[in-house]
Amino acid sequence: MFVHPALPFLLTALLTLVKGRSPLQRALHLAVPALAFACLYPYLPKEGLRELHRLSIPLGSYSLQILKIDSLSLLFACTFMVYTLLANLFAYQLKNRVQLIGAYLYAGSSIGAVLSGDLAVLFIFWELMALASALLVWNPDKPASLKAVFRYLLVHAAGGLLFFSGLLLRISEGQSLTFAAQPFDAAGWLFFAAFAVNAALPPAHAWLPDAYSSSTPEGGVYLSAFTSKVAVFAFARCFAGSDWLIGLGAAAAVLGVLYALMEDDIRKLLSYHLICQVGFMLAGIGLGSDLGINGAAGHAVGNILFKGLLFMTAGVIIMKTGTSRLSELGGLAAKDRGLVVFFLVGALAISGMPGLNGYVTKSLLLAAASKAHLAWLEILFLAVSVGTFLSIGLKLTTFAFYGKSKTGSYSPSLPIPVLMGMSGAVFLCFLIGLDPGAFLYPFLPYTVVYDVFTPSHIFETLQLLAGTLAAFLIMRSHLHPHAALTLDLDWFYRRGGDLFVKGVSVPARLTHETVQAGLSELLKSLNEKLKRALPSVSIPGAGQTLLIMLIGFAAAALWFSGVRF
Amino acid sequence: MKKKSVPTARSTTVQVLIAAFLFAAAGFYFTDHAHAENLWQKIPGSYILLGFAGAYLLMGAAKQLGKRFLYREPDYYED
Repeated sequence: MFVHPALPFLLTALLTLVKGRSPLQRALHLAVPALAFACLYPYLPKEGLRELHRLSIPLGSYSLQILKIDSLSLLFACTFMVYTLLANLFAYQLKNRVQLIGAYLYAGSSIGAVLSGDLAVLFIFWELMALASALLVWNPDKPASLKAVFRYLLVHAAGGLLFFSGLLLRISEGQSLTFAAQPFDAAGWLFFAAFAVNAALPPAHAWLPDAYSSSTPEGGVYLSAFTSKVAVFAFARCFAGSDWLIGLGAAAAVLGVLYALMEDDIRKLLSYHLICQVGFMLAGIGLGSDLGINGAAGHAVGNILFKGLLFMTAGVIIMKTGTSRLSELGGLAAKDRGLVVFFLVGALAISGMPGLNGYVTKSLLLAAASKAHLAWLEILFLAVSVGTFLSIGLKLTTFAFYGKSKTGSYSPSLPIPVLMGMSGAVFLCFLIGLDPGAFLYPFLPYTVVYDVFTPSHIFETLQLLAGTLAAFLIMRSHLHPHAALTLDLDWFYRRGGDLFVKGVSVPARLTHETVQAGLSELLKSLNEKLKRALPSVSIPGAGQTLLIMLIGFAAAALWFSGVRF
Repeated sequence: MKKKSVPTARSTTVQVLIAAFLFAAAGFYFTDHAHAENLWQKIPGSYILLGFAGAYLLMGAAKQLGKRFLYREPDYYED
């Protein structure tokens, strides 16, 4: 009997809806990723990871490709399952039923999306992901987050509409809905745009920092992993080798890193970095080579782990201090040495420090750009790596953990499940970083023949990091956090919408008032003239009645004489 | 009693730069110059320069962009 790997998540969500936090629900909270893997196990390729397995369900004359397992989908699905276990540990003490339901539905639908064999199945999971993640954007402690939920739904509804339009176009043209390489025809462009919305590619990127910084600490941990990575997966399936992805990915990387350097809110800073790292991945997919796809897929895995770890530490900071603003933080290292270690592992991993997973996956992407003879992309990757170390490794670490303490009392103790979730992420960052040959390369879509641990490459990376650190030490006042909001393109639908309505309604009102005043004056003067012409008649309202009758007679006379208005 | 010395930003910078030049020397020793794929890989210390110049430009760009165009009051969208 076939059981879809998303089903355990959907059933756990249903159980949580009915029963709340019962003992069975608590057990399932931790067991659900393992149950999902058990559902996937019978369909795993037996001969090798690069073998392809499909499973379809007949639906009338159409056959729904509900499951497609190859090395790419397996890598993403298994990473989602492992990360969900870490996130569920972190959120073990979460009591809010809506958030828990959102988390299970979100993880389950993301796994369903990457295992989809056709675009119709993908669309169903895609939309479920959007709705479930909206439940996580909602933060009961922040009333303003409800507005962020509506903005999030607005953007994702637009993305869903693009996707649905593409599907309808494909169906109307009688073309295949297989979730595979797409041509750049009208439907293909609609799919590209829909994926770009979820990948937070500029100019459709502003929803990500807006939503992820509004969520609860636990919600942010779930949100950081799935939506953008499913979009990266969809791009890898459908648009590998597209030059558009190289350009847009490079733009996203630069924009993300610049905004991260300006940002004061720690989760917005991390969110902008998410955009930056997704840019790296998409540029790798755009290269289209085996090395590029491997680098992008490996970097997606790495990013889920180290970015998840960073969102967990940010969540702990918010829970303990009640603020997420760098300008209101400082001196946490003296109060909580354990948290600094967790944070530094994540920060150094994302910065590409040798020995951690970010070094391996960034090296694959750099090598892919070099092999494609795109020197500009290689330099851009290096410059963005500098920005990453600068904003997370140095700015965030210095201003949150060192310097003068600005927060009140602080209890460094953490619940054991939270520690286990964070320790698990640290362990995996080191495991992949130290032995990628055993723990990453065998699971990548193509065979890896590139050695990232050459002494010259290790020393090049160390030089890059040391040069960045020296510049930061000399000019760190440039990055001193400002208690400010940084404008982004969401201005167009947060303020621009208001201005548009005002811009249209004010001239319309003025025109209406001017025309009405003119007509009133005209009628008044005609009335006066009639009064003067007929002074003996003093019937109230006779002037107006007479005028209306005159106009009516004149119109009727003209009509019957053949004049048409 | 001997007073504990606190490292200043200047002394830390000097230490970092010394470490960077040691990395550069080691990198230069290990690089296969005949098969280096890019010009900058053949120049000793080029990655230090890239890191330093990149960080300098990014910090300057972020500061100017924020100050001149993008920073608003934290409650900008709430009024």
